[in-house]
Amino acid sequence: MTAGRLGFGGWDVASEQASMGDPPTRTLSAGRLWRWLDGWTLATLVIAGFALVPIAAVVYLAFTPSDNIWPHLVSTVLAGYVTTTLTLMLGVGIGTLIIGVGTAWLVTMCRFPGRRIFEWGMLLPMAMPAYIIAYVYTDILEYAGPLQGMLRDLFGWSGKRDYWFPEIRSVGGAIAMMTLVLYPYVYLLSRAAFLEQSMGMFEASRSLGRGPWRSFFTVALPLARPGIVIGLSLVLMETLNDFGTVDFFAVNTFSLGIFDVWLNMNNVSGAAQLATVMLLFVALLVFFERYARRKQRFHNTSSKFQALPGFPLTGARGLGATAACLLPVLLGFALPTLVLLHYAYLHFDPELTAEIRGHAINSIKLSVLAGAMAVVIAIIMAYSARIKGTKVLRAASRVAAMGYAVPGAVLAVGVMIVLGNLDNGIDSFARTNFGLSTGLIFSGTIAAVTFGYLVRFLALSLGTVEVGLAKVTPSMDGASRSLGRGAFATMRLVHLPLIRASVLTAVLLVFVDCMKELPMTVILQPFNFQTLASFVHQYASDEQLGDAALAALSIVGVGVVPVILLSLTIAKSRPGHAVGD
Amino acid sequence: MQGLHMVAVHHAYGSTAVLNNISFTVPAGELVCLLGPSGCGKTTLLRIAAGMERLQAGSVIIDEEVVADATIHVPPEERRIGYMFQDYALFPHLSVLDNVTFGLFRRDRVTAKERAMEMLDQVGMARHAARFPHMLSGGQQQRVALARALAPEPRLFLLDEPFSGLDTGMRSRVRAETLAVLKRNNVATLMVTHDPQEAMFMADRIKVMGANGHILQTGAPADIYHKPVDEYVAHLFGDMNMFEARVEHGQLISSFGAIAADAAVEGTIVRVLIRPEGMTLSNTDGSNTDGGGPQGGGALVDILSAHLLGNSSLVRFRVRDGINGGAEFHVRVPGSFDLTEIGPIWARVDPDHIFLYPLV
Amino acid sequence: MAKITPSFEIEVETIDNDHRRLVDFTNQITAAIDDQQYAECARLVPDFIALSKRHFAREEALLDKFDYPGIDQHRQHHAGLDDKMETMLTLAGRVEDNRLARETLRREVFFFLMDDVINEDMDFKKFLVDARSKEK
Repeated sequence: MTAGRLGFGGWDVASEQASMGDPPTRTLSAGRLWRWLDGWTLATLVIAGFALVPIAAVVYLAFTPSDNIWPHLVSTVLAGYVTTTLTLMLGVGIGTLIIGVGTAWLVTMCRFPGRRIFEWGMLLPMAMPAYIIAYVYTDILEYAGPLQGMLRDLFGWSGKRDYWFPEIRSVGGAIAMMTLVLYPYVYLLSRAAFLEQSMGMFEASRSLGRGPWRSFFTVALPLARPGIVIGLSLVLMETLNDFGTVDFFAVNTFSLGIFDVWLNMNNVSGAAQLATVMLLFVALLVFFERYARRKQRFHNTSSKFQALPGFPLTGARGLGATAACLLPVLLGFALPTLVLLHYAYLHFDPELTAEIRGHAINSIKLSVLAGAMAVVIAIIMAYSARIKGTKVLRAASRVAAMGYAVPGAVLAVGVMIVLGNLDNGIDSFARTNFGLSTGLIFSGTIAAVTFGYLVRFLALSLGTVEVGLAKVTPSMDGASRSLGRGAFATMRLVHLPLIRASVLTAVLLVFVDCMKELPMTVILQPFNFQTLASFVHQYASDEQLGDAALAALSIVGVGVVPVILLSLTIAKSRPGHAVGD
Repeated sequence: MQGLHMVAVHHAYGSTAVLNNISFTVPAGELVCLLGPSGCGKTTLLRIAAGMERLQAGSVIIDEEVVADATIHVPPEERRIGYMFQDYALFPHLSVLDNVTFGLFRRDRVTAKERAMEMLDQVGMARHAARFPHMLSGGQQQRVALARALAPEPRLFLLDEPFSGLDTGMRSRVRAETLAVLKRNNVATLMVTHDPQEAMFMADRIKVMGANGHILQTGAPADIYHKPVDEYVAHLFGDMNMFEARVEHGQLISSFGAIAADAAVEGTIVRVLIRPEGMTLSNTDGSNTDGGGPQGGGALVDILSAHLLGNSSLVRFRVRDGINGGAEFHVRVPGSFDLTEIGPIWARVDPDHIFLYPLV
Repeated sequence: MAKITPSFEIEVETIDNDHRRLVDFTNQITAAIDDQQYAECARLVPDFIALSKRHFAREEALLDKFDYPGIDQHRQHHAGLDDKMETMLTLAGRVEDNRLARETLRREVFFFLMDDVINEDMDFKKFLVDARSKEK
């Protein structure tokens, strides 16, 4: 889950002001046509090429398989994958829609006890990766777990045949888990959409005789539709991306299928073919998201905070609203966190803690590396767009940032194919020309994981840096130059201080997402190397969640940081604060 | 020759020529205004002078140093210019004082600060030296931008519509203050604006630019106001009344009687432009007044409305008969106009205030 | 101090010579004002104007000879300068007692020289150079 994709710095929740790759007016331009093939453009094109290569490799292998099992896949598992994946997406889509839009409406339009806290509180489940919450609830709700045990004691049942209890390890369970941690996307974007709407329109609707509910459905909801669609697209992309939950629950989605065909059936081509089908889903989602973004009304977010009607909900209705908002937060964040805390306390073991610390350090090193590189690349691309601003560059930016939509499993396959071929190529070259075997150079190294992270998270750092750089207007550049400072001095004295906050935010966001990432890490990480996420996954799969609780808590802790930043932005947009920055 | 010289500057974006062989001079201590509609290339000219846009053809000379031509391009930071942007471009992360000292890095700290405070004093912002740009109003930001640009003692000062972001009340005051500061510092100044009033007030010389990248007319404000070279320029500087007249025996025949006309082709119909203050209203038809004053008997008119604008009034009227019958005009009269005055009203034209253009 | 640098040369001898002499005049007039030699100034200005008029005539003849397409426009421009030259003459008579007259005259002379004489002539520089090289 990428909290950062939504809020502050990166995508502005109210509008995509600096849409990816959209440059401001060129500064200090040089017009001749042949100039565009220069350092900046070259760098951007190379970066875009790198980002495209894994995906291209997957598609290529899918169409030119070495060991073609496609007919076999079609006749056996494909239909299952499709229906399961669709069911999952449908379920999560509906669930997040109801919870996300519903709570957003309550929080923005009504007044009830605790509203102020819920404004940012609703975001907390974002800190919780889906796989962790899946592990926790399985532990609690399974047959051998505390809840069923308590029920059996309470009602005197002795075995499975005595009562019915929903099976958590099912498609339904997966839907529930993902809904709980993904609804904040829809919440955030719906909230922003509601806030943007002219209160005048809504009040006009009411003055014309339509009560609050009808006004909601006929005026407010349709206007908020683009924002909601964007939120849903992001939710569904994350649903497709999920591996930990579906793996644990044995829910046969494409993600799981890819792993299965690859690692169990040992057939990369088959995995690539499944991945290509998945890309079709992704393409559809991306299309919807882009379409919805275009239809959004772009508001100047520095406009004054509008006084909202705040329908007061009193008595039972008020309590009902509070409960409706409290429940998702409780189930999606508070309860799992408490359980993990409990486990961490119960299973505390100094040796284990030392091991966890080792994994934590791995995680941190890897995430910091990826974060720093992602930001450096983003800065290069952002500056190219600023200085050159050609259509070629804008398209290249868009391509380079595509990775956010591609599921981790697909990227992992792609990276492996690319690096594998690269290594084999270098090896055979060395053998024919130098008589020695170089073996595997890139595959199975930190480079591989980092590559995967960069492709997936570049969009995040690029969006954040671009918004920061956009605050440095071309006339500021001109002013600095006219006051005697050359290009580098201007970068040092004007740009750097002004984009510092965005750069740090970008590093932070990529860092957090890398810490939480699972599918790519599991496949691409080097032998004898584990991150916190893969460690938790391994132990949970072995029914030892308790031992891994500390690691899980660390991940959640890290995930809370962007939520805090987001909620600060939300707090800032209330009256009495300086708006628009 | 001190000041800015643009010589035969030509500029095109793609295949569209934006500046067409433009030459002019801004002497040291003088303020020249480039006046024209948006898109006419005036900002491009400014940016070329500053070095922010690469010169395509011609040359740019500042204080006898060729800063740009076919072989040379001196970058902006070496041209010793001051530039004021439309959005002021103050650095948000620096205080007012730090903004103003930004260009003074070649001096030692103490002298830099002194000079900065001196400039801030000149613009009346010394009290706000520790504040940050976002705490200031538009007018205050403009003044800081002015101080910042002038602090390094540039030899050329360029302004890009610096007052358009201010509300009208502020504008005239800030304009006057800016002009005073510029004159005090005696630096060659080139200003770009689309507001004719602004150009008239501030400039020693105005260059009216047309949409095709040519200079339509250049001259002192009075020259352009009283002798516009064509209708477009005439219209720029205020509302004009228009009517047609026939040229007969060296005179213009219209509803207003016969008006002396020079340099008009006999027998043609011409379009006559006259400013609101070039006409007068009276209760007499003047045909038997003494020799002084406007010629012609004037036209009988019906008053449509009168708007008091302060110390003058704008009166709208319609001519009754003659070849301009039915046409509506507006005239500016001193003081207030009494609508309840009964009796016929005549409107007369002052021949010194008319502009003639052939009816093409 | 005004000076003709290579950028301002029209590359036609007669015209450039006239320009140089006009520049000299301008410098002398400016110096006279600065040194408070008002009588000298009042003497110089009419000569300056006279030279300008002769220069215009020479220029028009040259342009006519080569059939410069914009010649009417240029003639009109010269004709329009009559008023300015009148103004300068009037101001020259007033420099003694009036500071504003001095400043205005200085400015008018310089602008007249640069914009109305030299910069205007840039318009036909290319044409004349081409025409004369074809002649050779």
